[in-house]
Amino acid sequence: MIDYGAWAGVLLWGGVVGVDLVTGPQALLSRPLVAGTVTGLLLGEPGLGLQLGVLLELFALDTLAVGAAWYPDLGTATVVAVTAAGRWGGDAGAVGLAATGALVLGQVGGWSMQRLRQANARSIRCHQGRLLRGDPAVLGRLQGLGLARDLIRSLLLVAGGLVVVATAPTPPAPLLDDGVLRVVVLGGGVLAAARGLWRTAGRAPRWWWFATGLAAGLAGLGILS
Amino acid sequence: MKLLAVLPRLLVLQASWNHDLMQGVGVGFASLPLLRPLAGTDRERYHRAVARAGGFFNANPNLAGVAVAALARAECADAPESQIQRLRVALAGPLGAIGDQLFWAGLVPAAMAVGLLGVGLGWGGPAVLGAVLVYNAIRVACVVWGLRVGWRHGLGIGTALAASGLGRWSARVGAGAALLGGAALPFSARGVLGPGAGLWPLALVVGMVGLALVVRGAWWRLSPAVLTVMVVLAVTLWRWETV
Repeated sequence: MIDYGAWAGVLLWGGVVGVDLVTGPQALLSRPLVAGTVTGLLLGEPGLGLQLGVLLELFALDTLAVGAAWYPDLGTATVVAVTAAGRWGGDAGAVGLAATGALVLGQVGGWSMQRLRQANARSIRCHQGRLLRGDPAVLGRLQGLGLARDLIRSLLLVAGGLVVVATAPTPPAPLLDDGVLRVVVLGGGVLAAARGLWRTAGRAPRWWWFATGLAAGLAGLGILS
Repeated sequence: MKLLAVLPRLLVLQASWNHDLMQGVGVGFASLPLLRPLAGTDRERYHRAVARAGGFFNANPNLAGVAVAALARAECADAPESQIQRLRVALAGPLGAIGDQLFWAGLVPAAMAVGLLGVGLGWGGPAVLGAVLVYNAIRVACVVWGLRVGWRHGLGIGTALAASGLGRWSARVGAGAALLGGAALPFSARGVLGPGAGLWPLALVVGMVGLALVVRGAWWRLSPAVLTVMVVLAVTLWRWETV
């Protein structure tokens, strides 16, 4: 049974998440950990939101969103993933499958960002005369158009994902219970995060900070366990 | 007060980001409140200043305010236009490099690592909220500082930036991010598998990092996300056949 009110809230939140990635305000709302946490709260499944937020945040740590680089839109993908996992019962297998789907949807989101940038460039070329003449009004117009496009892009991406989740058949129960899928995704996430942190840590001495932190984390976890 | 009027425009600086002008239109839009006084004194200069402000530019969005304010100050001070254009070109590289180190490779992963640690320790949503609030407080403070220092120094912004210690801070924050990120990995695994998973999260992290060290060369080029999807598909197909 779909809670249309909650899903409408999720759709709007997904729009905000998508816009936050590049357009603004870039307040970390588009980070999977944040996007997942809020989605979970909206759906009344905070634990699920945190789980998927953590899983996909590990992959996001492998991404460096600089300049003209291409990167996946994992924030909106996380919003859809939490909804999917909740619809499928929220067990370990559902989390694993939903996270995997998010990795694929994230690539679609990245592709849509490139189309958005091309549309922005076309608008700028259309208004080139006014830009060169120093018309201040055209700057606000182009910013507004860009913001509107990104919002539409994000809403369409999330809406498309929600439609698939609502209409696709539920995976078989043995798959939804299967903890192996979640562990596989977690393993991939740890690899991704390690690679990303390693790369930004660079060579010594910063590499040693990463190794020290990892050792401390392992020791801390060992003590807690 | 004029600088405060620029702040919300800087938060949506990249609304029209594109491969032609990159942040140019956003920088121009953010500059308008600072350039407006020119419209009353020298209308032709004003339009040339607006045209210049909306030209090609790209830097880290959290430090772009330095350029917005410095260039606008130079315009209002009637500095030679060729000098203003040279300053614009000269600022993009350093503000991009330092800003990306400080934010994308420093503060953002550090904030998210704190969130991951908090979730792994069972603090849940409040840990995530705390990390987001602290990051945004630092970030907004940085943007406001950038506007102030840019407006104060104008054409002399290069010297001010060199004396600011931003480069040193970006190195320190980067080290902190590496430390926190490393510590967060095992706790992230715990956050997903739950506190009842015992030592399994530890074993998984040790195994994955060990695997990474062994196959370092080839693994560095493969996308973990693509690998994960392939393995999950393979496991799903295998399990499907046994269902």
